[in-house]
Formats: sequence, structure tokens, C-alpha cells
Amino acid sequence: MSFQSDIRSWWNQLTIKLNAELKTGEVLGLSLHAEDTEFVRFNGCLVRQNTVVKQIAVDFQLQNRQRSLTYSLGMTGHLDVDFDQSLALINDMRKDMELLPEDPLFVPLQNNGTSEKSYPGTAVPSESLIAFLKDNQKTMDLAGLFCQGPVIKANCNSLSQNHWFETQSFYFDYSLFDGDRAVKGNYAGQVWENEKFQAQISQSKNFLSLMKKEKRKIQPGNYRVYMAPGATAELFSIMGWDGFSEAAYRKGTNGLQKAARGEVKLSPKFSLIENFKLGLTPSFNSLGEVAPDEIPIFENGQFRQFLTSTKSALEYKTPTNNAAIQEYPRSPDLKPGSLQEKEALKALGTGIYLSNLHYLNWSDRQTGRITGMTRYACFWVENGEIIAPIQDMRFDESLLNIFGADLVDLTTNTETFTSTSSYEKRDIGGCRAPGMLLSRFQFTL
Amino acid sequence: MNLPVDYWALKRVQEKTTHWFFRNEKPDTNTKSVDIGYMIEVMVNGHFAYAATSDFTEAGLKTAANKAVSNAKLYGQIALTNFPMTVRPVNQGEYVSPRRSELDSVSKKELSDIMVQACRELKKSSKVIESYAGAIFIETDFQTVTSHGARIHQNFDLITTDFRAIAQDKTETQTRTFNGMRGNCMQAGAEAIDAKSIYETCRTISDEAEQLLFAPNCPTMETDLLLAPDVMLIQIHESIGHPLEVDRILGDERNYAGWSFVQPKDFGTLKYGSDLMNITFDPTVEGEFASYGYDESGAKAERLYLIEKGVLKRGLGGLESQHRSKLPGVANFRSSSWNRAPIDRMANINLEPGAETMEQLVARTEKGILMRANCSWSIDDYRNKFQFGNEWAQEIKDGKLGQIFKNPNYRGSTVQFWNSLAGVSNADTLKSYGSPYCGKGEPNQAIRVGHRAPYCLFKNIAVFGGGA
Repeated sequence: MSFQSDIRSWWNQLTIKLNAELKTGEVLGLSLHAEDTEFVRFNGCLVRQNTVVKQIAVDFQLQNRQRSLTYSLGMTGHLDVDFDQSLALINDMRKDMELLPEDPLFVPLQNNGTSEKSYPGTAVPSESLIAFLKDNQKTMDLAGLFCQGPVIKANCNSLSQNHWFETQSFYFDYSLFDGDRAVKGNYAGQVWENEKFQAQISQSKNFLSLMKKEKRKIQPGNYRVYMAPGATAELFSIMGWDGFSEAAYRKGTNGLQKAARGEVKLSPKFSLIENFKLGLTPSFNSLGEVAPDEIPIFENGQFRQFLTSTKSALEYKTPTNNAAIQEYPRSPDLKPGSLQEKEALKALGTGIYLSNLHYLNWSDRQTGRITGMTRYACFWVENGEIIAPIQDMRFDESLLNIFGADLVDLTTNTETFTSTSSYEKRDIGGCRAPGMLLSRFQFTL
Repeated sequence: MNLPVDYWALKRVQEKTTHWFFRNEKPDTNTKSVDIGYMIEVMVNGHFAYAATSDFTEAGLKTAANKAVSNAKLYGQIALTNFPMTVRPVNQGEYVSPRRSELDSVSKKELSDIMVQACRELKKSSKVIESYAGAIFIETDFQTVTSHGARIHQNFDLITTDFRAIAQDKTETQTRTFNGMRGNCMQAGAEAIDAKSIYETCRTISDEAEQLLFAPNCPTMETDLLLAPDVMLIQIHESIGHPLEVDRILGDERNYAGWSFVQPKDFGTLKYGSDLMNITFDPTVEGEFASYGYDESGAKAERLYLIEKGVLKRGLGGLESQHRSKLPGVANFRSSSWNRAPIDRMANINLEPGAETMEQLVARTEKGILMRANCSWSIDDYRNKFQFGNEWAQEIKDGKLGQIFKNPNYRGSTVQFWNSLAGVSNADTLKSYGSPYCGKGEPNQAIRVGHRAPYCLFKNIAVFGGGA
């Protein structure tokens, strides 16, 4: 029996037993996260720490009389133990619910149907990993994390809704160093192919060799810039904090609000969608609502819609697109343009090539301004030729400029980035992004 | 447990977390989580391996233990360091966080009533379009037993409160909070929920949110900068705490949050800041958010100077990092919960007080800006170039506070900035804040940190406001 099939059997039995315990008027929604993960952390191509984590947690959403509570519980995977604990929790919820006022923005659970998606993979043999580290420990300064194992997400309710999503995947997320010069790499998938991994490492080594020249100090000011897909994708990290949210738009805290209101015109080359067709994450949310495969946010520079949860829809009297309750993007996808990646340096001419950005945050949401740092392989480019790596620079620039007047073009190719986040539990999901050529980008420090 | 290893430790963590939040007087986030799990740590030939499980049956723990043993042998072949047993001292002890009443002594009905009324107070200004009020209660119980006789039991009651008003006038929107997003963090019992004081705070937040709507943007200039304790919180955290983590200096964190500008040779010599800069690692402050008795290696926590009169003395390195680096460290080997291995973390990192009152600092400033309540933070991967945004600012002109400014930001470089420290207010002005969400590590871990500071005056700092 695999972890996945064990959990499937346990989940089916547990949910049937719990639904049988409900009282008149009660509706119960259950959301499952289960994982059996191996983490191996490296420094200097050697193992710093290795941890295996087997964890199961269930969110219980109990509803009755215009009231709703969500409590969660860690689970053992043993039916009897978990059933007793769950029942005790539900009894606590019944008592606590009595103390809550009615919620005028109550979103009743519904039967949103059934779905099942499985992305099988095979476990990466530890020997491959150990052989790679042994072969390279004297010649390669590599830091990073290897992660593998199954992750399961499921959602069902007492109205017969039932969704199941499982994936078995791995990632090898790393940085390769030469002193204080570094490049970033990530090899991820369902089935480990040693040749592909070695090719990825070779590519990183080649990129690192470009950084041997003395670093150039750039003065603060405006520069023409090419953002590689990794840098573009990093913009989503801050846009996800209210930049996609309908509720934030209504409250005036959405950083893209001026574009949505038509006060600032974005480039016709800018098209951004929430795209579940990427297959990185399930399209059902914590209520079990299923989002459309594609949700256009901006199309050819024109605002279409923000991510709207059913609660926001109720509050602001607007249609829902079954977004996550917090209205963050789960699978953002920036559409490509017409610039061939191999022509990117030539099109940049003289300016700065950015492979990655770091630690972004809002500096003024009202005007969509963000700040952050350059990181990893960033170069000064003259006449289409890489001249030298640059010293790290801070930028402060508006997203409205980046996706508006200063957007020259996007590359024809895109890269998919799977999430490597693992706060509390292993994340799934990710994003897809092309490279971007900008006519102007402001560096401040 | 009878395991074929040189050492084992069994750690049990039970954590009950309640979020009780209201928005516009209506229930918003009302959740409770109960999380129980075990971490088994084993050492074979100097290499530690970890196996965590939420399956606390005997069979579940045995499976985890066997996995830890096999992985210790497997990855021990290519271990970065082979540690001696001295990195796991044999201590026995207990820590119980201070509380006068249990967290559940305030009923959910009572809590709901207080937060609904707090929402009403936050809407005292007619310009406030959204009010948000609530608290997070956390009860954590942490027990460790080891094969060599260590026994540690630590029990924490923790509270974070959050009050927020969003004010709007036409297309202008301003947010004002109670000391920044979830900055009000403490170890305390239910006595910390004081309705009268909450309502008073919420009325102030409401007034100030409206005032910000009609304030001009903070001007762009180089000027003297007076930072309130709820801004010093982030300044200490990002530009002192993280760069001094010794595992970071040793490169463990390079693929995630980054490296550090601090080098091992800098300890004892680097003039990090002016003579007024005195920074302590202090997990002994009663009620501060990240106080504890022992770290997870079993080392006893104690107050130690990291920076004294501006000179860097000591890093934030637990016993493993001390062994690797040969640098003096502290008891800070901590994990976020049962499912993550411990690494070097901040605890309470505090700036020690000076002699002046806050009013005296203002009075001796000819031209400057006072900033309160952090709302945006960013720093490079070596912890040099930072930019911090805040909610509220006031002009200081000829020794007096004047015009209010919105969207105040400032930026600088760490060592240059701290060497411009020109004034530190006295012990009466000390305030303790913290964060429940300090992120670090691979796999990722969000941990609780505390920061206590007075008002601090810095000379000639680049400040600026919002706008396109």
C-alpha cells in the first residue's frame, strides 16, 4: 500500500463516519492536507540537515444557522483515534458557534461536484543524490534543498461534494557559488532524469563562469532593463499580496487599482491570467468551489476582473470566480510576447540584465510602487554584450510603469516555476512567466 | 526507545492556536487549530537526522524512529560536519511563560463582544471604511527527553492583537494599525485583553487614519530621523538579527534568505554602530514574545551582549554553529514546531536604553522626521541595503513636532546607518514588540521573535514619501 492509497482509504472512511454524526441543520466541510516528504538541505555540496515529515491535517468547517466556524486538527492516520478526536472537536465547535453572532456575509457550503486529479511520480533514489554530492563536493560550492514525496489535497462536505488531488513530485532547488557570485537553479518534476539534471547543473556552471569579471558599481538612476523569467516571476510574490484581490480593490489597497479604474493605461502587450491548466495546483478552494480553468485578470492591457471569492461577491455584489478566500493567486500566468529570448541582449542594447529579484514589498500601494533588490546573476550590458556582473542594487518602481508605458516586449518563451515554499506544510502550485524588456527601471541605492 | 544510535531525542509539541477576528463588526476569521506532533532526532557517527510525524501511536513513532536511523547512516556519508556530543548538553528544567489568568478564562462570547465594540471605535471617524479587530491566542507545550538524560518542559501562553482602520476619501486610502501588522506580541495570559485600553487605542487609530488622508506625502530629503519603537522593531530585526545568525554567516541559508555581510573575523572588531548602540540577546525578559528557558539543543538561555558600545561581540549561533565557527554564541537553536529541525534563530533581540527622554530627542533636533508603525520591509540578501515603509510621520522643526506626513519611507545601508545613531531614549520609553512570522530556513520555518527598543535618533538619513 502506498501513502496515497492508505490516506485515500482512511479519508473515505473518516468522512463517512463524521457525516453520520451531524445534527439537523448542520453542514460539515472537510479539507485535507497530507504529505510524506523528505527534505535534504545542502551547504558546500554536503548535507547540513535531513528531515522526513509525515503529516496529516484536516480543516473542519461547520455551519449552522447563518454561522460558520473553521477549526483544524492534526491527524494520526488511524481511523479510530482520529474519529474520536474529530468528534470531540466538532462538539467544541458546536459550543463555540453558539457564542458567535449571525454572519450577514455567511457563505453556505454547497455541493460543488466531484473531481479527481492525480499526478503520479516515482521516488528519486537516494543513491543518485549521494553520488552527485560525492562527485562534486570538492569542486562545487552548492547550497540548497532537495525535497520529494507525495502531497494530497482533498475537500468534501456533507452535501456530497468530493474533490481529490494528489501529486508525487520532487525539486532540487539550489544556488551555485563562486565566492560571493552566485546563480540560481531549480530542477523539478515527477520523474528524476539524471541526464536532464546534469544538463541543468552544467548550464548553471556556465552561467556562473560569466560572473568572474570584477563587479561593476551602478549609480542610482533609471536604466533600460531586461528581466529574465525568474525575475519576472518574482514580481508575483508581491502582487499576490492584495494585487490580485477584489476585496483589496474595493478597500483601496490593491496596488493595481489605478489600472483597474482606467486612470493609468497598461501596455497592450500585458495579459495576465490565473491559469489552472498549468496543472500545478487544484482548482478547488477551501470551500470546494471550483474555479474556471482560466481567469483573465488583464487582457491586452485592459482590466477584466480581480480574483473574487464568494464572500467578496456577496459583500460587494459582484460575480464570484471562486477564488481562494484570501484572493491570492494560485497559478498566475503572464502571457508571452514577441521577443525571441536569444535576441534579448541585443534588444536590451545598453542596460542591465536581471536574472532574479529579492525580497519585494510595497513602497506605496496607491501608486503600485514596489521596492526590492537585484540578486544572483545580474549584469551590465553594452551594445548587446555582457560586460560585467553588477553590485546588488535596490530598486523602487511602479508596477503600473513596468506593465504600462515602460514595457517594450515580453519573450516568446516562458518558464514554469513550481512553488518551493514549505511554511508549516509543503506548498504546491507555482507560476509561469516570460522575460520582459523594459525601457526604464529606477534603481535607488 | 532502544535504537542503534549514539544519541536520540524525542520531542513532543502540542499547540492550540485560536484566531478570533471581526471585520466591520461581523465575524471574519474565527478559527482554532490543534496540532500535536513528534520529532525524533538521532545521531550516528556525529551526524544528526530527523523524522517528524503526526502519527503519535506507538507504531507511528517506531516507523519515524527507524526512518531517522536509516537516514542518519545514509546521509552521514556526506555530512557537512560530524558533531561531538557536547552540542547536546544534559540539562533538566522547566519554563512557564508569565500569566495571571489562563487564556481560556476570557470566553469567546466576551472576546467577540470586545472585538465588535473595538470595530465600532475604529469607525469613530466617518472616513473609516473598514475596521478590523481581533486577537490570536496560542498555547504551546514543548517537551523533550533524550537518551543521555536531558528532560526539558516548556509551556507558553502567547497573545498577538491586531487593530486596523482603513480610511478613504475619494481615491485616497490610508491604513493605520496598532503598532504595525501584528507587531503587538507578548507572552501573557488573558489579563492582556483589557477592553478599556483597546477601545482607547482604537479611537486613536481611527483619528490618525483620517488625519493621514489629508496629509501631504513625506518629503524627499536627507534629514535626521527619529524612529519609534514600533519601527525600531523591524530595523533591529532585519539589519541586526538576521545578519548575525551564525548559520547564515556559515552559508547554510545562501539558497533562501541569503548570506551575510558579517564575516567571522568581524567579531570583536567591527564597529557596527555608534557608541550608543548596545544590543542584547535576551530570552529572559518577562513577557517578551520570544522568552524561553532552554533552546532545543538543551542549552540554557541567558542574556548576552551581541553588540556593546557599537562593537560586534557575539553572533546568534547555537552550539552546533559555535562548534563549526569557533565563535562565541547564544542559546538560539530553535524550530518552528514539531515538523522542522532546529536552526539558528533570533529570540528577543533588544536595543538597550539611553539616558534622554523622547521629548529631549525631539527638542535637540533642528530638522527631522519622526516615523511610527512599520508597514513595509525589504533588505538585500547580505543584509546591507534596506528600505522600510511606515504608516505615520511628523515633521520635527526647531525642536518641535509639527506637520503630519503620509507614506513615510526611509532607506540606507546597515553599518553606515547604525553608525549615524545619535540618540537613544531612556528606559521609561522602552516598548516590546515582535513578530509571529519571522521566515527562514529550508524547509521554511516561521518563528516567533521579540524586539524591545526605545526611540532612536539617526543623523542624515534618506527619507521619502509615496507618489508615482
